[in-house]
Amino acid sequence: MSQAPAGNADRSAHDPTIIRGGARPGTPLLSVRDLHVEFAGRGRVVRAVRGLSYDIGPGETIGLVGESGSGKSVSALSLLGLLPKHVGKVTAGSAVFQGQDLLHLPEDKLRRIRGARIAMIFQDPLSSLNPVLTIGRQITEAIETHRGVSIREARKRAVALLDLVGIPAAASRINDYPHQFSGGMRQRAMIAMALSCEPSLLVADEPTTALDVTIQAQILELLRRLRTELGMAVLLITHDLGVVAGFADRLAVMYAGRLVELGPAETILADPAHPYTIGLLRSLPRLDRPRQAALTPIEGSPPDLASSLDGCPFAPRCAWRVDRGWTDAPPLVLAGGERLADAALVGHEVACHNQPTREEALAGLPLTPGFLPAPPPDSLVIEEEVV
Amino acid sequence: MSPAPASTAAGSATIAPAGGNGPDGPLLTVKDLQVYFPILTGVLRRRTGWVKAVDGVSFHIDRGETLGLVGESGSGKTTIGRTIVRIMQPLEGSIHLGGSDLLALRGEDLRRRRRRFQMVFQDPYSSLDPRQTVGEILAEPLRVHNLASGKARQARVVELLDLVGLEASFVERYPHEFSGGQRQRIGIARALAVEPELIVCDEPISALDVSIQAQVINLLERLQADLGLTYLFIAHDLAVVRHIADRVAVMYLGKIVEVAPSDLLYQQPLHPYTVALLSAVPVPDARTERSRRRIILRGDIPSPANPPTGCRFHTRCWLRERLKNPEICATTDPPLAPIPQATPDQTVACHFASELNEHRPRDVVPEVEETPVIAPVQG
Repeated sequence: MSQAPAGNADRSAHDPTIIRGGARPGTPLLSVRDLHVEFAGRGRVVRAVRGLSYDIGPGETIGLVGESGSGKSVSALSLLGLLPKHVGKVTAGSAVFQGQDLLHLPEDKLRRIRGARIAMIFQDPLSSLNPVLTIGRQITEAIETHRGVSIREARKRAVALLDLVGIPAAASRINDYPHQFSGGMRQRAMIAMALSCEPSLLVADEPTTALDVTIQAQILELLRRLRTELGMAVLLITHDLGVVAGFADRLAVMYAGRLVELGPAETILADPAHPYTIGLLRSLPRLDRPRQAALTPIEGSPPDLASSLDGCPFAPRCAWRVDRGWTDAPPLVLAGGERLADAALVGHEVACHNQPTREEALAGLPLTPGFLPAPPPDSLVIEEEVV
Repeated sequence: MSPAPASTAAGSATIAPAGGNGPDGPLLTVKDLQVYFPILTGVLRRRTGWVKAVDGVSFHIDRGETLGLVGESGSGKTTIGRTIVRIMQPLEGSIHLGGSDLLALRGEDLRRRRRRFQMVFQDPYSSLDPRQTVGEILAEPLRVHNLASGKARQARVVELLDLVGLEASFVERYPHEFSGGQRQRIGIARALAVEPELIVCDEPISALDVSIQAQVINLLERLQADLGLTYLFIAHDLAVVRHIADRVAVMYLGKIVEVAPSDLLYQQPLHPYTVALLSAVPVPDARTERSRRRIILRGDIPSPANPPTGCRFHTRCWLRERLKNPEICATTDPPLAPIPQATPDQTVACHFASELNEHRPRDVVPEVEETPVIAPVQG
């Protein structure tokens, strides 16, 4: 069981001078601290991101993983000032990128960073490409805007970029419109556009989710090559633990707007310490494991983000929950117990009041004799999906 | 019948000896199925070509069995499912369910026979009528097929909800009040209402979050065991299909390229496309992923309106490249048949399937490790 310190360690966790979760030593490229994002609408306030902190080192790839509604995409959009206007807003936090706090920059300054030093690619390239402009025009526009070069020079660069991302006959395809490209080609074109100004950070939001698996392999291969060639850092947002396994240096696992686990990808996938991460990995059928008789799902469903969620957001679905989980949100701290020695070395952090042991993680349930998940206090009504 | 002699040969290879029509034969037998969509152009909407969505497909499913149908977008897998449940009309071919010819059914006969085959759709958001309560959604098939009325109908609705793990109190609620996973349960309950023998599941979990997917997969498996259902499980996720299916058929551009019992297909794939597909699936293990090599297929799937000649995969085939591009691949469509080196229940449509193993690069398909699911790393 865990020896997580009680009290409000959350504050110290947001101290910007502390390098978090095994980040590379030195100045981080991006440093997100205590980010809060809210959406208002239909008389409800949805608190989509509830205190998110992480660092990305130069050239590093972080996999931000979680399911729908976990806040992974929203948190990234908020950094770039791309939240829907009048609906979503950042209510607290900072995001320091190369010395500037993105969350407090005026729009014109932010615009100069966005697309140039931080670029973004999305799940659906068709909705992020302009259907009435040629692919070439859309790439040259970015180059002209941010680089101030001539049209002829920008065009030459655009052809080189399309060539770089593996579009055959780039010099002629540059005059095509987005609908003339296949799904995989559009994703390549969008990557070319994103890379046109050689950003130091690429935010990739589910870049392969809409693609077939063989095309996904092509795009991941391409991103892997470009990442090395350009030395850029990548924030990869995905729900797919397989995709991050071969691509991310570190993982940040989100649940209900918070980080529940942070650390090297290899460590988290092989030795998950949070009950949610353990549950996710156990619920997947895997090609690299023998067929199981039945899968082990996580019971219930994610919480309503319009509610206050004072305690641990995973408590209603958790087999390890303790009384404290109903009232106090656990802070993100170094993994404890038998993991502590390794965790201190690699920076494996977990937000859990009652950390499962390795043996329990394997079994998928608490093994302490007589342990029962803490029943909800009378004041709480829990809606659980019946299975 | 089929104009393509090759696909006729392919058909006979997968049909069980019982012939498909006796009580002990397969529940579903599909033979030489062709589903083409016309390409209409100009003001006069003249037909200028065909999209060959399904082009000569034969397979069978035994009673109580799950056949997984996998393939990428445009492979024709969804069209096959829709043709079986008679939403789409094939150009050629036959579909027999428990001995009766589904394609011969018309009007009232067809409507009555629909009880025996049902479909579960991918999108639990658009496949439920938002203006009907859950009770009404589930009562409708009972009313249409005269299965129960009055109190008995209400009791059956509650029973159906219970069957898929939903509370009886949900009857009065509307679809929008439910999560994706719960809606998919309602969709499954609706399919079960008429006590079908065959359920076509078209990507039933791909719209759901991972933690919810496992709940629905377990539900489908439990229902199959309890009710003796037969499934055609259409999906693009190979790991999910290996888990749920007894046998798997792999499709590429309107044709089945390989059929095999699940474990066999993953341990010993015989078609170069199956190998490439398996090599492309990432597994959630950082060490495996970093050490693994991949076969990256070049380019996109060609258009089904203008498929390549001969073997449809030959334009992207890594095996053909290693064999120095033999001419036969571009000229002759290989039949789906067993090969001497493998068991007869594994069939493959490749001229060079028997040479695949000596040319297949190592480490492209993840090794199945007998180690526990979660193993501590050394720091």
